[in-house]
Amino acid sequence: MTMFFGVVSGLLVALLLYTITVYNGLVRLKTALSNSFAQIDVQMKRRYDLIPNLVETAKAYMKHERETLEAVIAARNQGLAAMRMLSQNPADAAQIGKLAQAESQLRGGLQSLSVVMESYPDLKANTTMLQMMEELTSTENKISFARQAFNDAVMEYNTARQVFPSNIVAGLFNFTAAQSFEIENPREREAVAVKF
Amino acid sequence: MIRADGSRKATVRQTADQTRVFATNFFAQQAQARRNTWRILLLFWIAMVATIALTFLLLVVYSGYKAGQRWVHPWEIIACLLFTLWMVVFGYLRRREMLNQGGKSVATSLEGRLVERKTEHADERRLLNVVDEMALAARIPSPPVYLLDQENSINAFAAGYHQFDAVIGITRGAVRRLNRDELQGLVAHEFSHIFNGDMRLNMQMVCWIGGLDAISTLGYMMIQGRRSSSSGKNDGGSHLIIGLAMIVVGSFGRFLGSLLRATLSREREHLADASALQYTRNPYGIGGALWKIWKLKDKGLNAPFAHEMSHFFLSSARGQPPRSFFGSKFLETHPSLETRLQRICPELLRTGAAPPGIKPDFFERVDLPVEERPDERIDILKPQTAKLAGAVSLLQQATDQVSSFGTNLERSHHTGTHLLQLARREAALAKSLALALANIRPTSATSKDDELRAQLEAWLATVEQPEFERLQLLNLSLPALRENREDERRHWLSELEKLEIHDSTPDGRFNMLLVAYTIFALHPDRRTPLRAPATADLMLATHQILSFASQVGHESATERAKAYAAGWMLMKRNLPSLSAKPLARLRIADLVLAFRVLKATPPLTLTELHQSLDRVMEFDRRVTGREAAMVQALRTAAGAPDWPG
Repeated sequence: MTMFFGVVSGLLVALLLYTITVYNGLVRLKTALSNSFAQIDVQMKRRYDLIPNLVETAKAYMKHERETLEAVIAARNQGLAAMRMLSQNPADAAQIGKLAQAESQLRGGLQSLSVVMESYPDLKANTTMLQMMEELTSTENKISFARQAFNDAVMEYNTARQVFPSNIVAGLFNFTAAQSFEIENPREREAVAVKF
Repeated sequence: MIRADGSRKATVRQTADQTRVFATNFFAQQAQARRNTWRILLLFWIAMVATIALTFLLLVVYSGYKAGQRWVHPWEIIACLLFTLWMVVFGYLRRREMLNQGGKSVATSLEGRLVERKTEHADERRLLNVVDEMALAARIPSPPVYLLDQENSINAFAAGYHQFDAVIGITRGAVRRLNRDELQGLVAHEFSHIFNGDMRLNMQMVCWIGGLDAISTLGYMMIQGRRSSSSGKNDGGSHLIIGLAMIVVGSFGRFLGSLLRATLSREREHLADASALQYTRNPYGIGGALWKIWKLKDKGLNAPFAHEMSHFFLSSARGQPPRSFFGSKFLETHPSLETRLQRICPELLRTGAAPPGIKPDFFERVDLPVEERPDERIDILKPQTAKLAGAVSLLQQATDQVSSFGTNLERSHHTGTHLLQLARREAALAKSLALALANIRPTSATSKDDELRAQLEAWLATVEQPEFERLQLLNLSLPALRENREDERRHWLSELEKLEIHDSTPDGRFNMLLVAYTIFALHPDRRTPLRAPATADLMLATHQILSFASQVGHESATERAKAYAAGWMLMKRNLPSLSAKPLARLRIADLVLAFRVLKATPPLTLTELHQSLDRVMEFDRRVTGREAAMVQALRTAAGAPDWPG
């Protein structure tokens, strides 16, 4: 009889330990998830900070392209403002819409800027400009890599949540499914192809 | 032209179909590699246990033979088992001692040079950016990057046993010959080794294999011992036989272990290739890099340690393995380049195929030595108009941000730091920022460029900065300034120390204070002396500080004298009266000296100085922003709170 109780309590302890391990694993994955999301935010902000420098550099050479440059800056400012509002209230749908609009304007502006720059050989050879373009390209890449890492983290978490037997623990402690970062318009998925 | 041109995206667009195939493929490849890892590790442990068991049996037989018994006592069996285990574990620990040095020592032993975070070199800048990008994709902290300047071939390594002490090393050849995509692939491959803990795994195996050495060594010792003590007894033969048997068992175990280690290493390479695909989502990244190595048939690395460290590298550090030598294929730590390309990017194996964006003269330029490209170095001592424009815009931006946040110090500190992180890259930028903030016209150090001065002055004319915010921004720029190279910082400091401001208006005095503040904050010698300063020094310092304070706050000479006297009254209890008048002639250097004295004074002694500063400030019952900023600057310098940054 004592033998029986020993076995049963041993099994219970093992089960408890297993549950704790799975629970901790899920929590770790979930934390990784929110970390990855924060990275996207950080990189987008960084881009907003870079653009004015870029435009200022270009301004010194492109005397006749005021409109293009101003459009870029305007879009950037709009995006930044929307982002600030969003950081106060992340669920604000109107601001999300504004951010998306500013983002697409910015993308268009940067593209036309790169087209215009073709006719300024001095600017293209300017080392500062090259360096800034490198920074901008890198930031664009970082945004897309941060999104990708976030989606990979979502996939990892969702898989861990669904497979047996950890799905029992997930159900028990209410680990809800995570949503991956998708942009509706597939063209927007691509970072700006800044080409000089 | 820069290759940092979004060609990565262009590539992805061209090969959208293939990418889709890989998107499902690389996870499967990773899973496969992980399964294989377990199998190989199981085999490895079976081999280890079998070798240990065989040694144990040998020892049991030997001790039984020596005792002349047909069966052995249980205690002897246990003793033999313990002895064998002790032998192997001892060998393991000894090896570990030798290998456990962390990633940094590996990098330096390969003659790697740390790439500084604020490098101005275009290639190095790009490399650091790529490493940061891949760190994001792999979700690990960005490791320090070492550049192997002497290596002309394309290769890279990751070293370190933990994500947080890992380093990544890249040959100069790789930085120069790979485009941005390929560099990404290469770095992603190494990050996979870090992420999956391959270095730790490999070290464990190397150490256990080293542990088996102890068995062979004991065998040698037995044979040696027989020779030296050949006293004619008839157990000499048994010594020889057992010794030989142990050498054979030990060596066989070692061979088997090495074989399995190599197999596992190859499997982990495939895993890393598949992970590189996951991180970059671009088969032509790692594929292109491997293709270039394959086509170049590199001769191998030059560094003396490269052979021992071959398992760290992207491709075999010994270059292409010789085909004729039997067994070499099985002991290679890396799969052949063809096999790897077959799995990642098979279309590159076709004859005439080439990764996108390869320059037509790529193969002709291969033999050229890797030379410095001086034109790509951005000389920070020659500020350019464009850079200045950037600085001005940054200043504008910083001003906007700070003023919009008002006096909410914590928040403005946060945004300011963020902005300055951008500025940190360019020492010149931070310099002009600090200069402009202190309202100092650039002096001989930077005034070579007239345009610089003109623009800065134009900017200063339009922006009338309240003193308090000026001080705040100066505080924010201090960390960036401190990060400058030692010699640059010294040069700049000496320029600042040479400055003379003859303006005796309150604003001029405030500017002097800011300059002294900057010098004090940046001076390399900021050690706190062991002894508190002498009373005479403290008195002089107080005298200086109060003189400044009364002159910053008040316009007319009589008011200044009165304010000074009021402040001095409070100090009188501790200090003998020196003079009831504020100093007429003030020098920046004296103020810096006073700051040093105050910094070394015990805080309790300074309570009265703080009170008398308040008295000087409030003397005319009107506290201006300038006065408030001054008092804060003086208190910070006196060591009340810590220095910002």
